[in-house]
Amino acid sequence: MRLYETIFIASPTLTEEQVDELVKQYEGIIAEQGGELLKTDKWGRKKLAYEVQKFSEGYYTLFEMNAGPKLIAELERRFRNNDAVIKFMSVRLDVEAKSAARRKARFDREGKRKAAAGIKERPPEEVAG
Amino acid sequence: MKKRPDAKGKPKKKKVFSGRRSKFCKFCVEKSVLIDYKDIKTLQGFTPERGKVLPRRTSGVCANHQRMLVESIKRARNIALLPFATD
Repeated sequence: MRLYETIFIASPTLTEEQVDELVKQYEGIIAEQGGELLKTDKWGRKKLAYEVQKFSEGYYTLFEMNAGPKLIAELERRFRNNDAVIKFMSVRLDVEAKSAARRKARFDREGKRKAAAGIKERPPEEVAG
Repeated sequence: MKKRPDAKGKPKKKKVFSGRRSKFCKFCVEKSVLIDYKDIKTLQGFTPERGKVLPRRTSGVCANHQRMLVESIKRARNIALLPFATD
């Protein structure tokens, strides 16, 4: 199982209720395919940074879930086949978290080294000058 | 080589930056280990008017964080949170 984050944009031609229905439908698919949904975040209607399929607005929805690659493939296939979804993206969070942990370890190590060497940490305000 | 402290006991500042503010990596100061692509406010600070990525030589961001930043900006562009280009 991997930790994924999937974000999709629903068409602005839908009403709020239709979007809710759509989200429920996808939640159902995730559950059905053996995924574990951790979070559903509805951002609501937002302006897009550029036109997508001639639309300049859309409903953003974010899923966070534990899932296998097969589920993501299936989910994306359904996004592609659904005209109500104008854009989507999946990101693997477990990989991100791993590299973040590595970076944190490096900061900690550096901090310890500096403390041992008696170098004081400069407060952010001072660095910003 | 040891830096010679001045009267106040602070290390002397390099002449290069006299009159100009020295650059620093914002993310290193914050010790950020992850730059989120959903955090548009931060990303927008590094994509001025045209929507291009601000070069390191201007922003002063360190190489590691610039790499993370670029990745996040590209993701944000993909999902229409940031523009690819604006006129």
